[in-house]
Amino acid sequence: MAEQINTPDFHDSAKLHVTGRATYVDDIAVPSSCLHILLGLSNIAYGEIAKMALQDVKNSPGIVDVISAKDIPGKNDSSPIFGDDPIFAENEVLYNGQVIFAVIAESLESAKAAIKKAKIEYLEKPPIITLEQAKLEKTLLCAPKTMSQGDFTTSIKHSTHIVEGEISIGGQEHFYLEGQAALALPKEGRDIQIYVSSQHPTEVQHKVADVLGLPLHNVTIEVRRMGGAFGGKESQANLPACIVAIAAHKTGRPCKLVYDRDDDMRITGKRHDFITSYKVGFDENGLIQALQFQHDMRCGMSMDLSSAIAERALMHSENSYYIQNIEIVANLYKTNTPSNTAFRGFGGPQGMLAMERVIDHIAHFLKCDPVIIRKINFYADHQTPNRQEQHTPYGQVVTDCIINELVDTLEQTSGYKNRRQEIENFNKISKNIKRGIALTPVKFGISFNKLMLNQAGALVHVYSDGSVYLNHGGTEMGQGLFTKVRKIVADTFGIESASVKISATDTNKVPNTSATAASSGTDLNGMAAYFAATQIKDRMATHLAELYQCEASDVGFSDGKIIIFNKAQMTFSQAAEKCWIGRVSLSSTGFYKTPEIHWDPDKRKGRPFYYFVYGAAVSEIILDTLTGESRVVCVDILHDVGRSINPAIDRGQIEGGFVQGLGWLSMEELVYADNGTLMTHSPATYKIPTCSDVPNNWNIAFYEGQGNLAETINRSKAVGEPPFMLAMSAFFAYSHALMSLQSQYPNLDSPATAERLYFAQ
Amino acid sequence: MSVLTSFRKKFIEMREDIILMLNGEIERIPPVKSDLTLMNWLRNNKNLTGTKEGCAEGDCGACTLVIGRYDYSSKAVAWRAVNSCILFLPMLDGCSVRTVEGLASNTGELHPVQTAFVENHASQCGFCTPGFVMSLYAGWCKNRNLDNAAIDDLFAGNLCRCTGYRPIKQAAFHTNDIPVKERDTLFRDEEEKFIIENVAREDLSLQVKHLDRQIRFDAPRRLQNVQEILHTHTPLILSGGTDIGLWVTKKHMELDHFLYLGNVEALNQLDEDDEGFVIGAAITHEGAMQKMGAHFEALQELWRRFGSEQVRASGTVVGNIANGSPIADISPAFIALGASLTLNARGKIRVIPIGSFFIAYGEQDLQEGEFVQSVYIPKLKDNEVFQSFKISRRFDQDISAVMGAFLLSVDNDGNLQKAEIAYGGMAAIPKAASTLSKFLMGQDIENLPLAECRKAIQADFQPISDVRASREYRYDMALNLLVKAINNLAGKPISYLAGADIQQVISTSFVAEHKHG
Repeated sequence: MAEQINTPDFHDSAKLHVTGRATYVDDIAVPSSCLHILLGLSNIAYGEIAKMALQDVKNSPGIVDVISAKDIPGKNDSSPIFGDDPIFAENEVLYNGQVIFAVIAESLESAKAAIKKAKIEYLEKPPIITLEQAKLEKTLLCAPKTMSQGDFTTSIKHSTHIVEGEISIGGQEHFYLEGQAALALPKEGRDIQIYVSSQHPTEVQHKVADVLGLPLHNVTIEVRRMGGAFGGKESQANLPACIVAIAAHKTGRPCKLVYDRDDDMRITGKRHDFITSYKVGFDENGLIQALQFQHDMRCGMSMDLSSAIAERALMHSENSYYIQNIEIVANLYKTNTPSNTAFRGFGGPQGMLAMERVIDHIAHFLKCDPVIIRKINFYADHQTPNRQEQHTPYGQVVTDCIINELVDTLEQTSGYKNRRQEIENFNKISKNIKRGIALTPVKFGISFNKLMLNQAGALVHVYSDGSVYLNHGGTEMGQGLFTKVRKIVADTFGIESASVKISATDTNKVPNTSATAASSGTDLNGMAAYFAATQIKDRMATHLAELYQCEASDVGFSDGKIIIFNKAQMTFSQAAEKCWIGRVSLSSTGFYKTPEIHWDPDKRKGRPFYYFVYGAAVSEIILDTLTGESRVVCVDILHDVGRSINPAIDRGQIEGGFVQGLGWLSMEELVYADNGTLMTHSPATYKIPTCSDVPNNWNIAFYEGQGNLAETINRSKAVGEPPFMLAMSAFFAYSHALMSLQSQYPNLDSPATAERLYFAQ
Repeated sequence: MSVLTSFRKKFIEMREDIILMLNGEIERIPPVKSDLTLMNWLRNNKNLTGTKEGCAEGDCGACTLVIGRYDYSSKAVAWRAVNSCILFLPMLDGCSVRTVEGLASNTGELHPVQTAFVENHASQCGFCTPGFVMSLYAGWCKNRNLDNAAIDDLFAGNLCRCTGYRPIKQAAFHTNDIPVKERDTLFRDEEEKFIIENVAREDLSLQVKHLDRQIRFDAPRRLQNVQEILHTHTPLILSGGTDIGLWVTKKHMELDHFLYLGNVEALNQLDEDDEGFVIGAAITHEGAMQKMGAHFEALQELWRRFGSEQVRASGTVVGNIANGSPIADISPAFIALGASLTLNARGKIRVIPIGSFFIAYGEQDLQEGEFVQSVYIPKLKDNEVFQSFKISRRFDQDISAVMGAFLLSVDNDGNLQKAEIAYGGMAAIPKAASTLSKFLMGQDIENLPLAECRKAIQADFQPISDVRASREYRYDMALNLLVKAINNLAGKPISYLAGADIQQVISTSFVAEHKHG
């Protein structure tokens, strides 16, 4: 593209957000005939349903119907891949919070009063709740997943030093502010229209079609925006959509289901918690000679996306480090808890945290600054002279590395070295208050692991008045995708963003889409929209060239004008009208598939990623050793967004990702009772960061390089997930502070809550 | 006047329709089911869907809006951000309600607070945004200059999962630049006029049949009526609703009769004399914090972290005590301070020490028809020092794992001559550490025998492990908070990482000088 896009447009919905006029699923005006759904959930974690008496519920005032598994016309399944997520539990319940039935009522009030009358008897069985129990019982969901490079077994024997350890990494609730929500409108014939808060409208379409036994063309899914998603609405939105579809199908009336916060937290899956053990061999300089990881993952009651998540964990277990002899295994354990699912980073954060733990442990062993160990093990930068080809454990050659230069720069700008020294001096004299600092890198692979998903479509219309209508397969969850893609289309036509109307994602307009996930939204949909707009632009140029007897290359589009070199000038709308009169098609689709990537799923080798995103952060913390309370006081971030399409949005992703990561590693803790009840099922007990948890001294800079070496739209880089892992710097700053209190390695587990930091001394 | 006559008289003066002002328009609302929340009424009956449900328990702030209410204490209209998800609609009788839809001008011109959000890229998914906008609007209404700490406090009750808060804080900073003249136009005179006029209206008393239930809501203005209703009925006493609201929205309890104290003038008083403070049953945390914070610095900070702006604006001090929660932060502080409760049973007054009010979990010393009318807190004597510390998973807007309150004084030899200590989170009720207090008398604060203190704490408390903390952590914290308190007393403070105190620590470090290009 000729134009350099680099304008911080405001979020396309900003004015709607601040006035309360932005419409989410629960805000859609519904006909007065609309019914409301409340779900009946299991109160036990594992057992058989011996008896289910719902007649009293059905006979209550205001109740239209009660539905359960027997009311499903098609398949009783809402799973993304493996067919193992029943919509309604049938015979057997597998976790506390599993949906068993749904009350369909004239009002939610009536449903709440009626649902108490349900009588369900269970034959309870002892549940498997914790990872420890699952490991003991060997409840593997599938064969362990492995990945390796070189020869670990031999190399570890010849290693100079060996360190072993284990880290427990907690899960995380998405806590999108808008709970799961779906609204179904039955249409004429067998058609059904569904509004849903989902990152994956096409998958919802597939599941609803399967549930109702319909071809896909009868089912339309529309998503204008989500009130946050973070991966939690990639597969988990299927369930509410299927339920409203069944209810609307059965009653013939519009039906709405919105999970309240407690139901949402009890029903939906979360980030996987891991217990990772490691064994590492290294020389006297800290160069890693051999490394072995075993990731044990709590997957919950079904597979969901755990298989792909495990693979991404494997593929990020070496983070930014070239490790010639490495062996990684991931064990996927089934437990009687909600089915864990996608969450920003998709297994990457757990893999990378384990790797950074290894570095931290080595540095402690060698009594040196962990940054020294990091640097000695980094992949070589792509500009390094006489660079040897370096493969990742999955066989991809790293060709775009910038981590050395990036970390060197950050080390300088943050004053890391001096501050570390000053902090260590402080810790020598301060008895109760200790401080810590750490610098950690991020390298994150961009593209879906599954090749098929790396495709996107878009649809662009230019109307005769010059206004432009844009639709694409990506969904807006707050990340600014619509704002970015609109800008791409506007720049293609040389018009203002405001002239381009972005429309709700709709399976009738752009079919067969992929989930808006894996940070790929702009890369895929931006390029598809660019292609669509370019085709129209080319047709317009060709027609105008004919009219004015010149070459199409003489027709220029900029500043809302069409300039025909030395011949004429007109507004974009005048040009659009001329083209319409001249019978030029002013509508086009666009399609894009990521080039160059390939993957052998059996060998787990190939080039799964089109490119990598790099970044690094320095965090400083302060710890009160008497209570374990801590504060993050200063953060410096240097992050690579390529050539930014919208710096304000990219910065917003970095800031939001960092704080979400900080919550994961510091205060967010999921607690299940022995009987599988989620004890932290509301914001009263599950604490995400609030305003005062954010560092006051927070410096964010974009890495200034050549832009993305891969040919992405505008040479930009994906930005959704990678910044999440910058928060690892805070976690290892805690570790640094704890090291000043003791000679043995602190072995800090995540999240580093006050209690955990207190007892880690 | 006989009971019968007074009831008749009352009946005549009663009114069944709720009258309030919504975004500048007067609304007369026919009787509603009295546990209908303000949020649900706005969303479902008025189609004002800008007010969002994020948690339905007052923890996320997505439903925040601003209400104007007559403050009997200051005899003026007070404007506050509140959580509309846990306020029952009849509680808003006589108030003015501003929702996010009521901020922009009729021509659609954004309010400066809204513009600040747009221009600072402060919304991403936008779901929490209306709540943040309304919190900022409320902060702005108070016409205070927002610095970093004030902004953190202003937004402590609003959760955002997308932005990391930085641009939101930036938007708040920018509103400081808006000229005062523009601020003045925010308030419509008729809103205040409406509120003041409605103070003199008849009592609200609603009775509605819903499904198979008869639901009643009484909002008397006179203390005598409160006593009489309690004498003849067994209503649930409702003040701020920050706890009872959750009984409805979370536990789905069916509550049939509310007696709302918010409109009772006599209970809306906070009196101060040379000896102490008397806090009436309808006084909010916000109201108490403003009047008592200067005398009790530690209470000021405790109140700040007790709950968000929204919770402090609704929740009442007496309500926090009367519901007997083992993790209420105010009760241990008041136990240590030697507070007493005034209980009223149809005019018959009983005064008891606050500590004896809590009998067991969910059980308080309240007789039939009796209610807590006020709490009295004696002022500090010359050599007394009061301190309180709260340990929670998150600094702001969180329930304590352990809360310790210490009223201490030393004699000239540095020995403790007073040690009134109480803890929250350590037992099934807020409880005094009586063994510990007794043991500490006469102890040298420079040489505290920690092992003995630990034993005393173990004699006083048998805490449980739960989702907030383990038993072991609670024991250690009870002791370590004592250590902090004693060290402070000895003039060797150990910094406490909350609120403003952290600045002290950081200012000694490199961070303060840390500059970036």
